[in-house]
Amino acid sequence: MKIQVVQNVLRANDAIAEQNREQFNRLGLPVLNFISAPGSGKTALLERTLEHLKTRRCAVLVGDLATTRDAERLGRHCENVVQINTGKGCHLDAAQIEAGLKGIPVEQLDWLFIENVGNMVCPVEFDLGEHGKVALISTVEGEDKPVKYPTLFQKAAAVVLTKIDLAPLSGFDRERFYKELRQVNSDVQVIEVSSRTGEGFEIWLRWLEQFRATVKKA
Amino acid sequence: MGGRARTGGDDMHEMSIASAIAEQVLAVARQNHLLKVTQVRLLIGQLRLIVPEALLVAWDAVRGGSPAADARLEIIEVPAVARCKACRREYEPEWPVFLCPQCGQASVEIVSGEELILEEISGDQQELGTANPTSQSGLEQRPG
Repeated sequence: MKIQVVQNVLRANDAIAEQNREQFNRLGLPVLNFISAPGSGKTALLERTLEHLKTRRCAVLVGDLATTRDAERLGRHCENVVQINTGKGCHLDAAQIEAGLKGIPVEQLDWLFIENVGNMVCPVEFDLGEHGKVALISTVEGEDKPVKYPTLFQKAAAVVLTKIDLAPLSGFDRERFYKELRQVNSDVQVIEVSSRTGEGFEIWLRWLEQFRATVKKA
Repeated sequence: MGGRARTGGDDMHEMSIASAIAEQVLAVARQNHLLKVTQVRLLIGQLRLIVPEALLVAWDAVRGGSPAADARLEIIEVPAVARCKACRREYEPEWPVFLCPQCGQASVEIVSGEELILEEISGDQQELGTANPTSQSGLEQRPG
């Protein structure tokens, strides 16, 4: 006997993601999902960003397989940080976000940042309810990452090119990076930063404000 | 598809996906009084980041001990089709590059290729004499 089913396999995750998104929209709370390889500088970017956004009420949900190290670092700059340990899980999912939100005062926030597990593949597949994905790539991990991991760069609301201060030392081929990125996504804005020196942060913060303005209270 | 190192176990997202498939398959089987599930048909879009071989390994791990213990997972790939936001042309992108063959932009809406759909399951119902008198063999439409 054959039974037609025709169901989205990830409907359970997607349903929770939609509920998360509806809650964020109700509150007019912008939510960004930061995705990159391990070591690209997600935590460092967020640390410096949180310092600059001291007058705003921010929260961070950070995912790692193990340890609370990232939450400890972020906790120095922001009082609303929740560490999610996935054990062996290679990505965050919507249910983990829903659970993580219980630890923070969502109604009072201006920003929610989600630092995903370091991984350029799996996190892209799982909707968390965010308003946009931010893809990070550093100048020391290879300028050909966009064509190697196109899905992330195709779906990103912004690409942050980190460790820009190390570009001259690493021989980063900027021209090749942009040429290949534009074969995957012609439209996405690239913001070049150094979280260490602060270079590029004016543009990054301006992008954040512009993005925030696109998230209207429902 | 291949080239990814596989360690097995639940440290890959194919395991989450296989678990989700199993949950839905068993729910449908229960609703339709299937004693045994023999086949599961899955549609996976070409753009999904799922390694079929890894999914089959994961499926093998999750189906054991259930009415789907011997169910074969049939994977059908759905081709990727993109629509250019600049000139509206529809085309099949030459992954990993998304350039429009007409205008050269990589500014896309995905028309197909991102599906992850449990399409159909096949199985054996309860034995004759105990079966629901309204059920017949053959296709039965289920709401999506």
